[in-house]
Amino acid sequence: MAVNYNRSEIGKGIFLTRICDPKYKSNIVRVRFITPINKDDLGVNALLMSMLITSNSEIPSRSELSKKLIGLYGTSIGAVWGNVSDLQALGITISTIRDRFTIGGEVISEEAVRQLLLCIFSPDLTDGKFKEKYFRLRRQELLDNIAAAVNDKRSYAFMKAREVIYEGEPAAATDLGSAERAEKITQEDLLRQYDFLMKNAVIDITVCGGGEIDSAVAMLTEKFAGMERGDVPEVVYRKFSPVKNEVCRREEPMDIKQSKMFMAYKSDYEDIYVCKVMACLLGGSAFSKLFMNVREKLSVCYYCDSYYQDLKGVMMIESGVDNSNIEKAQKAITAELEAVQNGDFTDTELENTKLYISGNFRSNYDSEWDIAGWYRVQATRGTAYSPEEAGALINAVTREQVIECAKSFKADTVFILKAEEGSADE
Amino acid sequence: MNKEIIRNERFGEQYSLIHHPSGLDILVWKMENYSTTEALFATRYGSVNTCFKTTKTGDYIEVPEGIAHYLEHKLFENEDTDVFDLYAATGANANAFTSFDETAYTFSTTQNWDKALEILLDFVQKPYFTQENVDKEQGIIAQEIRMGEDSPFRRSYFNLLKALYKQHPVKIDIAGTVESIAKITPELLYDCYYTFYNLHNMVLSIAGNVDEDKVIEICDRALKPAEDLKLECRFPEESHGVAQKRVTDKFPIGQPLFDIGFKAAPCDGIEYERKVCVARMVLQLLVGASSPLHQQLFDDGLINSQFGYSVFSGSGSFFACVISGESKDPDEVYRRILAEVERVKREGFDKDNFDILKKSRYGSMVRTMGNVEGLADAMTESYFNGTTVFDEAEVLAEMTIEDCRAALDELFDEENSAISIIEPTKE
Repeated sequence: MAVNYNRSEIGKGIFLTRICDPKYKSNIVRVRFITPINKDDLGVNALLMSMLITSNSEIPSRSELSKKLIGLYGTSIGAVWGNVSDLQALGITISTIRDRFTIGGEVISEEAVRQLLLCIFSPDLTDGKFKEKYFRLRRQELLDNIAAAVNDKRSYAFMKAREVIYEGEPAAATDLGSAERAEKITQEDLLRQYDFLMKNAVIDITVCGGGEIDSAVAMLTEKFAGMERGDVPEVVYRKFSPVKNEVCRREEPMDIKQSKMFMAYKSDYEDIYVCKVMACLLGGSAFSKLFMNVREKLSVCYYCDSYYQDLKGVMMIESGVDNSNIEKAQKAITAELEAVQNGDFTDTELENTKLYISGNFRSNYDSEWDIAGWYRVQATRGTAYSPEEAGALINAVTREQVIECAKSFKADTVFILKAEEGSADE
Repeated sequence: MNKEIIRNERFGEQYSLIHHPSGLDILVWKMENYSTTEALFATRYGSVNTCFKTTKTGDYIEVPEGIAHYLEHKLFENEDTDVFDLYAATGANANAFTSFDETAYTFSTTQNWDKALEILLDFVQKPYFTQENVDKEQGIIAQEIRMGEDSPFRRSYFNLLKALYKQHPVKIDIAGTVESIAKITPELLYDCYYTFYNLHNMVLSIAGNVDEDKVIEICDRALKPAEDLKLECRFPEESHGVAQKRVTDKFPIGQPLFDIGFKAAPCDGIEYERKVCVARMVLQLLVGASSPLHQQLFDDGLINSQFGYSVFSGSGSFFACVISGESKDPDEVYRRILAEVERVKREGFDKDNFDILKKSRYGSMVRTMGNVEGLADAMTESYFNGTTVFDEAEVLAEMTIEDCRAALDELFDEENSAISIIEPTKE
């Protein structure tokens, strides 16, 4: 199995990645701006992306732009934002079915990409300002989104845990910044950030799908290659989070039924693929130590997973646990990690884990979204391994490496979003 | 063995429906150049099936709420080994889910699909329930129920179902309650297992990188022929009107959440496919991103990007249109939806919007054709509905704007509607 992959720099700090496999029915075009996290600008940048997809100079009405794209066989447009290590990545994505699958072979890819380019290069500005109505609505939406972070308790707990785990580092920031800052965002802020991102951010463009989109890509390349750019600082994705001198223990009470616990371990172990095998062996599958022993045998958590965040060198162990079981769960989780550190796992467990990971890698081939994500992650590591190549690295991991790697991880943080007493038995 | 090819010229796609002598129907969609194989071994059995009869039971019997989901959990435990341990040697990702009207055991893999299939067919046909292992599971499921209670979205949705439905068991949480699952015994699990996990009530659906002949060969070896027990499920008659027009709850959230539902009569077969397809289109015309109402609600700051809608339905059992989102004033959103329904009844839908939405739905179907997991799911769902994966495209091609207008009276009857609101605990 293979896809056609190509990555090139088409302008100063502007990279174009093309991934093509004729089996895909659609094409995705994603344009991302990558810039170091600045707490004050997180919300501004996210709001800017929302403004850019609301309308453009040619179609200055949100509903008309929606109609235009829906008419292109349901072409979707969306703004994306999120923190990646100590960086903020934000952008716009469109997804459109291939021209050959339209009724009567209607060509839609060019128009879809043209609209994307209009949104980015020709925003709906009058006298240097976005429409005040859309600005107010989108800013309110940003505030709603910041407030809504609390709705999903598991992701909210993760957000709060990150603040503690990465205390003092840019990665501690929430994706959208604070409500206080969002309330004060002005049109001038948006325009300033627009200019900054267009001139100084790394721009990462991905075109991924079934292909037959060359003319649209030519438009894209011409437009981006012709940009006037300023200084573009190099972005560093991998920056290990320093281990705290003492394990930091924090709790936040909330009116919920089940506590959400995050235990973070840190290491500067270099080999990402060894760390992946170790974290998966511990708690990355339904046959892992945490699932089999902590959840199934001891029944002290409903879920208990571990995973490795390579850009920060952090292994996260996440569990949903009743208050009465918190201590038991912590002991049981620690015991399982110690078991891995002591080499208390069979060769079969290790081989099955490697088989599982390398199989999952290959499954990325079956979706244009997944394979685009795969190569996006590869780029953050400065590599371009195919799923098979990465699978070979997984298969080469030895028992000794897993033990050495497990031993290198030090306990850093325990964060619990804790069910308030009494709420569990209501 | 009897085989049908289900083909659609519009998409140039096909899959096989094989009637296996064991009583099981098998669906296979071979997808060239794909890496993954996705399989579902599913039974037409979900949380709503709490009252049933077979040739063995004689009269109808009732079982505790949450038992289908409980059974799903327990089936992963064999007498001698844990099923996940068996899967581990294949590299497959195994899982299962229980919905209102279906339970499915799944795997997804890029290697050893044949071995994974043998494991799947074996463990689902080999129940092992003891008092000890049933008691142990109560703790895990109680934790799952509690985890679900921490979701304001789930709370809002189930509150809506309780408001919409007076009698129908769809108003009960799929996992049941801590109290109802305490009544579950090994004997009850066996009764339900032998009733619903009869091959005549099940389907095996496989999509992706798979060899049909080999699937049949494995099935020949692994399937244990079953006698058709003539299973019949009974649902309480759901009368016109709702149990409660408005239900509110409080939760630690940012801003109010809402679910607005319109209950309609259930149906099955191709009529069901038509109804679902029309309902989806009517929802898009009424509140979709290209509708006038959506624009007004957005412009007035009453909805944001969390706004959405769906058809909530089970063939022959339940049917509702649901509109969800966040709003500073959910009651005003509800009022405006009702007003828009009345306006459209008078003035009709916009033809241009209808035409572009048809294209959009078609585009969405094209995308599904390239999704291994989506196709395995779609084959199962349409099989249980008595239709095929391609019927939606044909229904869509024939659908007119008049069909949508005509469906409004039944689909959006104010008397059959209710609103569920979750308000923030703290201002």
